[in-house]
Amino acid sequence: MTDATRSAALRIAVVGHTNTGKTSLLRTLTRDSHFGEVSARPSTTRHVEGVSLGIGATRVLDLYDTPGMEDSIALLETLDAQAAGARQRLDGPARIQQFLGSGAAAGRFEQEAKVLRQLLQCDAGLYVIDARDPVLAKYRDELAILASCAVPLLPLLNFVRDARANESAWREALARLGLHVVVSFDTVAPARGGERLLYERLATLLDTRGLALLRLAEHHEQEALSRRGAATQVLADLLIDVAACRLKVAHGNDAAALARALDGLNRQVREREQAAVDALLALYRFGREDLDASHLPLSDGRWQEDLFDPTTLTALGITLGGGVAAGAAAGFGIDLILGGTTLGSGAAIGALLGGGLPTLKRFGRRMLRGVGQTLSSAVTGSRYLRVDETILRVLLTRQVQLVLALEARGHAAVARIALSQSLQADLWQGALPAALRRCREYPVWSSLSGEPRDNLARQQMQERIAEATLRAIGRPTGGSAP
Amino acid sequence: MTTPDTDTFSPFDACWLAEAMRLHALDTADPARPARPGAAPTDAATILALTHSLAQQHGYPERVQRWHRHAGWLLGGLGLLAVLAGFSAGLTLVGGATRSVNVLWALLGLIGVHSVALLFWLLLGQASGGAAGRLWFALLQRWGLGASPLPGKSDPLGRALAALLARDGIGRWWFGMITHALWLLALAAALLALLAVLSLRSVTFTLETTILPATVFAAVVEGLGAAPAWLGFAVPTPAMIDAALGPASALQDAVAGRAWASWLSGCVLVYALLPRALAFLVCQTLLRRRRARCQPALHLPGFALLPGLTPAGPGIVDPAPAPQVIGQVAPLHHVHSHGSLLAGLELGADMSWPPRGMGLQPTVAVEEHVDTREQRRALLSRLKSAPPARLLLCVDGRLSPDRGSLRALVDCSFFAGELRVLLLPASCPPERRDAWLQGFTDIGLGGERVFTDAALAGGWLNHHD
Repeated sequence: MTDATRSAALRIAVVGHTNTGKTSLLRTLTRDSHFGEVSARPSTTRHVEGVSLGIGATRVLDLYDTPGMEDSIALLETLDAQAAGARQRLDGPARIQQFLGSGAAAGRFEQEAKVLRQLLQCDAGLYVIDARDPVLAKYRDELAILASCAVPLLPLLNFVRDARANESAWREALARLGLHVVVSFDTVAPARGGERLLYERLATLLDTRGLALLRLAEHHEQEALSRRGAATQVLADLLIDVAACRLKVAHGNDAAALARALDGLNRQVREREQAAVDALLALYRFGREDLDASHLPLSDGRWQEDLFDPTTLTALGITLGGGVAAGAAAGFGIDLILGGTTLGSGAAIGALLGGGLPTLKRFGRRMLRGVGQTLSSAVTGSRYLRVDETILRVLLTRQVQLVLALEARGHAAVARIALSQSLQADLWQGALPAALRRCREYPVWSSLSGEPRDNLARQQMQERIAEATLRAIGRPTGGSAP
Repeated sequence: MTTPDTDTFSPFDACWLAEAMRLHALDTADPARPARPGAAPTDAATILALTHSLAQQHGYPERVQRWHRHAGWLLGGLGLLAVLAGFSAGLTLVGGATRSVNVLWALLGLIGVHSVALLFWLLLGQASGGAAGRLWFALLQRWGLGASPLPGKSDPLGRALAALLARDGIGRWWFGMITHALWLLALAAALLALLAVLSLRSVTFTLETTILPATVFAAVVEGLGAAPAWLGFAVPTPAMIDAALGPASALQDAVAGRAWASWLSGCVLVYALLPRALAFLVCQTLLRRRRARCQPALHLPGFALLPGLTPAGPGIVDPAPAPQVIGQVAPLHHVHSHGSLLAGLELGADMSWPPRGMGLQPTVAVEEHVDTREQRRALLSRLKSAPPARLLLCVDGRLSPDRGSLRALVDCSFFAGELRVLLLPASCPPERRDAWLQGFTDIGLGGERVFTDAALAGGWLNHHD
């Protein structure tokens, strides 16, 4: 990195009282859940750390995380005393410089000195406020000190959605200090468009240099679109793998062998879903341990409800077709195909496992309908298993729900169930069901049964499904509004 | 080891490396802890440059070059086989021991299989190149790419190539070009063998049939000969056809023999070599065009995982200072007073004052909220002038403790017989409450000197020695 590009980047210091969410803000803005250290304890950050945001590899904005201000009443007193002792009248920055050169800046106020030193070097400062706190004298003193650095300051009200937030009191107090441009931004679950608003407000303080921030906001919106596109590709890949999967059971007349195969398929599908969840988490840059169970429908990076548990369906608002008996739970979600015709969701297997072979004979007539497979099944005694369509709907709905939750970073937590009910109805229409039914005719497309073949057709199908999913998600679903 | 330069790689190879690195990133991504990677990619040139440099770290470019080398050798070997097969087919069909050649049978042998194969390719050409394409592909993957750098996972380069071939019809034209080139070689060798036999041996051409009338032969020979005739090849006259059909073919004259030889060579050239050459050129042109406009599929997941997509940040520019000492509260000491004082430090405006449920007696002095610098000074001067035996400072547990508040507690403790603190309200967030308790411990306040219950604190203030 050359000096030219370094100086071209805007520098913004993130300052504020201790424990107001400065590091959280940086994590949200950089989409890096591993930046710095975050805890509920005050004074977690005690150093100054910079992180860059750019368009491509070009640095546009350097953000600096600073330690919290903790002793501002005493610091302002010291500054006033130093100014009173000076031989001439000093302006704000000169007073700060005088303080930074004094012994106090290396002793009692070392932490505060780091903040001031960094702010003086920056183009602007973001003053993070915990809006739940009352407007105390120490915060006003803090702002007075920061304002004397003569660097444009944008107050950012965090936690404004909290019932205890004193937003109007804060806005009034800030106005009295001459800070009229204020932005509300929830660092943990920002509102849609909140990031753009933040950059726009910041840009107004920076005159022409602020244009870079607007470009950055634009770029981030492009990236969000691109990420959603990639997410639907992950989803389409998963759906094709599961929909197309057809497992051959060599000794289909043997109930034990069938049960084993069923178990294996269940496990494979679960693992495949987990791989997709991991891919989505990586795409949105979350680690498994970053996810808060209360904010996302996952615990430790996994779905809590089992994919093949019938209650999962009802929770997602998916109604079952006929023929699913309660006793069929053992083989729920797996279709046994005999002679090319499906016997209905799990019923056959449940019956088979429960009643043994004689029960299966009832399906004999339907077996005869299929020609090729019937013959091969009759000769070799092999049977085929595949995943039921309802499971595809569960997979689709759950992953879309995850994508939306990751995009809002936990915001949708409260509305989770209500959201998914309407979501699943919206998702399972249009071109999607038909496309997935077509996948079922191409077992070679599934990676569950080995390396997928016929790449071109599979890829075209993946694009088609991804696009259909994107169209389905694109519809307003009652998510977060700006 | 020389590292291949970006320039030596075609757009297709650059895309191949990019796709391989995308799959590599997906395979090596740690689900538990994502790297600090870049943003979503929006610019192809950046991605290609980045993936190329990343690919070099894993030795992918060398393996791509190795693949090309091996593909060349394999193609050379197959070409040699094609030449041998074509030549020997030509020799067998016209240069057999009998010296009598059934001319239509020979033509069918020379171009029959080729025509059917060409027709199949035109109708059913697949991106994967069919079974032969898969074999070719598998062979090269085993032999040309070598071992996968990711143990337990199939080679990203192999999968990337399969994906690229599936994209934009590249595979179809590529495999088409290879098959047409091999057929072209085989057919050219067969024609060469034919010409060699016809130049150096005396061959008698015959036409044989069991059931067909002679007119069919005349129509076929003339029909097939029409196109080669435009290029100057001879067409046997009806008399020659009749003669060839006759039993005494040994009497065939030199003119008829030359006409038949010209007709046969012309047919092979026009119906076998030229269509194959045309198909080859079409495939080559289309392939070149498709490969040149090959772009990384930025909409697929995985690219965002690549390190280096965003600029490296400045990192830590100012390290953390040594832990700051706030000081310890004064130990219990005797003061000439029996009074008690209650004061609130930085309390929220919504808290009732004095706190409810303390049951304070009138002897207990109550100070107002202490918030500003001036109020702090006023409290200190009041304490200095008349130090109470018991001082209770009340703090707001919903706020975060900071050095300034803790230091205010320490400062006050020197002007009272004993300082105790009351943490209110009872419903404050547990993590904030724990932070306060930790802060109290740090300045030497602990155990019975910290109240969280207003009634107990009130009892302590009311107490007389």
